Amino acid sequence: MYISAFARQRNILDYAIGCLWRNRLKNGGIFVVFSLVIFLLCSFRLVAGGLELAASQLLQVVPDITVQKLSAGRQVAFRKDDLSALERIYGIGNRKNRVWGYYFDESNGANYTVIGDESFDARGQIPGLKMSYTNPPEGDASPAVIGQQVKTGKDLGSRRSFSLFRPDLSLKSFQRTGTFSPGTSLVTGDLIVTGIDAARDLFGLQPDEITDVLVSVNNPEEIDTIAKKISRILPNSRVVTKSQIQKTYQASFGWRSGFGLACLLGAVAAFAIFAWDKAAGLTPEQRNEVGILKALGWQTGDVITLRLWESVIISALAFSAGYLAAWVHVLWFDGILLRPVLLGWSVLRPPIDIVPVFQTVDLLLIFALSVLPYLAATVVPAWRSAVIRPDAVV
Amino acid sequence: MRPSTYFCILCCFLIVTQLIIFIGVREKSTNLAIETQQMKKIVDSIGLTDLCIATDARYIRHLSVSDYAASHMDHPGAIEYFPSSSFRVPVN
Repeated sequence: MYISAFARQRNILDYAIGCLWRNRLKNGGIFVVFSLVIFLLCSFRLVAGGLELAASQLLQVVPDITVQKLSAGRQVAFRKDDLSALERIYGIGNRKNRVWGYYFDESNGANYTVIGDESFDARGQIPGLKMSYTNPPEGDASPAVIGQQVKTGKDLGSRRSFSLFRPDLSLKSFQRTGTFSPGTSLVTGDLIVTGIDAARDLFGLQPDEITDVLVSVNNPEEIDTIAKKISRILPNSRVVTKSQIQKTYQASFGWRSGFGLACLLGAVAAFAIFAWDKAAGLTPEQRNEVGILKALGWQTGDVITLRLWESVIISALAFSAGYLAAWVHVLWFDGILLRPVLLGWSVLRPPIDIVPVFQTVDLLLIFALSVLPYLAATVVPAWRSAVIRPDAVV
Repeated sequence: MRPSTYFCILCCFLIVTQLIIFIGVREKSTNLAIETQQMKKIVDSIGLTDLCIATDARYIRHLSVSDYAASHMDHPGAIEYFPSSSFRVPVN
């Protein structure tokens, strides 16, 4: 019984493939459009998933607590004396003052992130970080370690010296003592790391001003408790913990993120309407075909099965092809079609070298959002074509 | 050969290709592992808090330590105008 049921389905499948091949232009068009929709949806999710994975790996070692000062909802600088109250909090392991900000380079329209690190030494080396450093700077130039995109953006080549404008439009000289490797561009692409005094000089800050404090906590279980104490002791401060930073990125790249994804879901809806429109119209040849099949003994259920097989073949193959193409696009071409959207109007364009992540929930959701609407859109037209009476058409 | 046989062969080909891609993903993960370790050391040494993906605005570049509810922060009625925020929701 099972063998005959399997043989029956296989025979209907053979006939369905023949029907599809006879109208290969029309069905080929549906296949291509469907594959493209799946390709875009899957590429979007694979890139977002890869970024989420990269963020979860790299942000494991962010500072336990980052403390900033806010005024009127905007970030402003602390004075060092403001932070003396932190010494009263038991459990804080280490505090690191920092000056950081953005520098807009008018020559190329790029935004750099300048970080003034108080542990950055006079030789221009970042303690604890082994990389290839050059000789310490000469003269009045401040040492700096820069990212690859800064080097290419300023067209430095083999030159070590470069200058940036202070707020009063005087020039501040820097000398490059190191360049972050291209493989680390996901975190260092736009960075200029220099000494804390050099950063204050560049931004025109007072000698005792700092933009934030990085706090490490001896007992990781006490991070939230100490964060609450800091926010009570320092009024107008914003205290960001490690877990909040990690949750920010999880939420940011989640499934409901993005204007772009909303637009792509609109494309899926448009495709379902297109599929309905294509399946709803019966040509005279199709009506004759169904009439002849009925005259030969096919039942209404057999014709519905035939039409459903046609839909399943197109949707399954298109889904597979689109999904496969999305993986190839993200894995070997680094999501090149989505890069303009991802990078937006940025002038600096770091390479987004990520590992796409397979997630069953993504696969099932995209399948449910694409294949099931397509099958649903073809059910009623399939039934309408199946109830044709043979004597009416033959 | 029957058409259904061709269809089954095509399905098997797609499945095998997908498996080859998953092997490629594992290789890429292994290759990127060294760079990931380097990046973690940099994040730890300097105290970075965000990935450098897009640099078109401060609240796109630094999602986690930037100003609140960035997409409307400059004007209450300001609509989203950065393409790079297509991948992100504004987070508080």
